[in-house]
Amino acid sequence: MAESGKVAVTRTGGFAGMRRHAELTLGEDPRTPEVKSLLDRIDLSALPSHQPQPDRFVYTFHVAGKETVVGEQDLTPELHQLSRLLLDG
Amino acid sequence: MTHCQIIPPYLLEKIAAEHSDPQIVERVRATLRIDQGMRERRMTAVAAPQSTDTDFAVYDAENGTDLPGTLKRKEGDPETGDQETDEAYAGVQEVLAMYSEVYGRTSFDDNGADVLATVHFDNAYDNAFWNGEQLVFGDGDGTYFQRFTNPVDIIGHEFTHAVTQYTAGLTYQGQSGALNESMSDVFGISLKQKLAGQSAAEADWLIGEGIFTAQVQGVALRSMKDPGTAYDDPNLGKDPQVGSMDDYVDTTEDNGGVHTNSGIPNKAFYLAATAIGGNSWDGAGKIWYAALTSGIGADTDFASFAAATVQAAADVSTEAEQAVTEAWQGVKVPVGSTVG
Repeated sequence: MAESGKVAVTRTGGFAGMRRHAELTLGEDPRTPEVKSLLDRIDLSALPSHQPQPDRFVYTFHVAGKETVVGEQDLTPELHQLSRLLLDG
Repeated sequence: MTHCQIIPPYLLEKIAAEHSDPQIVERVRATLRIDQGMRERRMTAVAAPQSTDTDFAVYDAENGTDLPGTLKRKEGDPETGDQETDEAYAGVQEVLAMYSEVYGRTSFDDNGADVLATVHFDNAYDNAFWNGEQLVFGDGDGTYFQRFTNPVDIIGHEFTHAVTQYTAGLTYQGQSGALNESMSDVFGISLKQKLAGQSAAEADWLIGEGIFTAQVQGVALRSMKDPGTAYDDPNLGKDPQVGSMDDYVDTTEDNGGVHTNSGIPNKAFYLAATAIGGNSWDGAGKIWYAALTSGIGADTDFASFAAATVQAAADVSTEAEQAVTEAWQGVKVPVGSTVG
């Protein structure tokens, strides 16, 4: 997947309705190897269409210039790890 | 693994209304017709003695994400000593009692459905939700958020998502989504005020009071009285809620800003409740409940819901109709007819 460029995640919604955003640039950020390894195992085009559930978090991923909206309930383990790596790392 | 998925009618309605493929639209419409038929048969069936006994139970996810988890306390069991379990138990018991006593509703489906709540969901999870089938509560991260079972209005809020799912089925997107959120705050705050024995005039109108740790600069997650003022913290940011159509936020985030724009109908409820006077759950609450259960559609917007509340208020008194009309005008939501 993406060899360079920006990877970003935005988490919105949840009961509190707070917005969290984080991004990194591949090749420049020390987390690059882990992020690339995760991206190799992520197929954003294979996710189900977003069907909201009340108060669940909503994630928006920006990868290789493409934006994908994913409900918390539809996160794959790799996307969950990617979001944690960015938002908590 | 067999996976059973239930798509709620409101989602089917949305797909039927918005999907570009006519074949898919027709299939969805056929499902909706079958669903409607089943519901009508169910209604006929339950015309026989309605269940009045709702069972409820609290489960423990033990910091994992499998639901519902391990059974910890079912109805009638003594306290467990686990704070989250016992708070969820009490909150579910209290919200069931409010809906029964005040609104004549037997559980969320009005047919005595069992209520399941799971506590200790995930690790340091800053959230609570209704997943279409059950209530779920996180412990909070401990740094900014405490446990989500602490404010009883959060339990009332999540339970009301179930009530909305089984009544208007408000689509969780844009204005109907913000109304869905607001219904949950309205009956969550009603529960809080009822348990505190506070009138509309006495109450603080704060949602999620007590959820923050001492280090957060804020009193709660939302203020229905003054949306946008509940917190302003260097780490968490500022409460983004708006309280007037003049400030309506158009966004693709949070399913179209459902937790931001809900401040508009929230404040309308506050204005109506304080103008009507007495207890919110009784005066304005009964009007809002009548509007929610009046047959409004899944895609109801603010103006249509305002019209439904004005109609419900007119059934109470001319004064109530006037108060509700002015409440919506107070947040710049157009109200169809003026009261003469």
